[in-house]
Amino acid sequence: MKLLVIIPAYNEEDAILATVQGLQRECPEADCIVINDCSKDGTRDILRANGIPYLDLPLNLGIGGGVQTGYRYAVEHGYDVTVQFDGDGQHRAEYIRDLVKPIVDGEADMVVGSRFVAQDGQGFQSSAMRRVGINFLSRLIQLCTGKHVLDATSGFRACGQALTREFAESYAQDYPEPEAIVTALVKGYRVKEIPVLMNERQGGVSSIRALKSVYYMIKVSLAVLLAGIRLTGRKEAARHE
Amino acid sequence: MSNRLQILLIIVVAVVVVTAVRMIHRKKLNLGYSLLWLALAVVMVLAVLFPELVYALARVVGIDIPLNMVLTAFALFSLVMMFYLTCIVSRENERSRAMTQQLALLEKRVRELEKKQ
Repeated sequence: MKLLVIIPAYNEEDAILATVQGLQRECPEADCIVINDCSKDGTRDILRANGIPYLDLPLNLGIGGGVQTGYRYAVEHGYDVTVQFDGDGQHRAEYIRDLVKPIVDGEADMVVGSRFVAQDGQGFQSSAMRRVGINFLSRLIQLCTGKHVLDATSGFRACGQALTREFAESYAQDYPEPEAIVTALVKGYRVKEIPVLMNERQGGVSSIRALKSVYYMIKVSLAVLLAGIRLTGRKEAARHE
Repeated sequence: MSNRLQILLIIVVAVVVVTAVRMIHRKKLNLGYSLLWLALAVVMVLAVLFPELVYALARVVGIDIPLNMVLTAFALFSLVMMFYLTCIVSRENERSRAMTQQLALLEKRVRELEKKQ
């Protein structure tokens, strides 16, 4: 099985080396590709100096366009499973095998590493405000798809070959994580959540800043609703044909 | 419609047409995108030559003052144009994103080929 870990990175010079080294130590069987999203700091120099495979985007595309580049790379090189893994040290590489296993076993098409499935009080969960937002999104997704996804904003996820192709072809932009889950669910893919612990960020700035969070919620909610409506409509149409 | 308004409209039409044609010549405006503007010019010329058309339309829509009819039409045209523009911007965004991604994928191949040599 060929496994690719896609690591989107924007201005992650503080964390990227430790992230990749941790990944190679914990999960040596996986290939990794860092997507340098036009970083303004020394991220690319670090990647080059350490011989880390990377794709260098000449324009800043944001997380969606960056990750999609990774999916396109995976399709080009015939990978069986792709894992999305943050470049800021938030995600823990020791969970990658757990994330990949349901896909290899044929139990799921997408596996999301969720901060909320296991509540043993360990590790970094999330701030109260953010949890309110994530709960709201979770309800919205249930409304659109009938499925329960607890941690829709988690960027730690694995996809099988079919979904990788799907995402290489078209992937949500801006704040893509919840929308991608809705797209997968509505198209009939099986999405599974497994419990993971996450670290506090090692460096960099979260792409969701406090001032932007209201804008984020409006935009993501709209995106989830539209993805739900559009795709459900299409499915209905196909059924009537 | 007053003579003054007619003269004003004719001047506007002249400016629109001359500007559009000049920009097309200089390759700063695509012929396709100029069509809406030229269509506007044609409609305005018709309105000036046959003001009865404007009066009739105003009656149909239920607007008492023909000038208001003209202003409403301008407002609608502006809305259509803006919507059209946001559609174009979105499409160009999609295209530049796809191209950026392709460029990054190719750059990695070139980098690896150069290293092998």
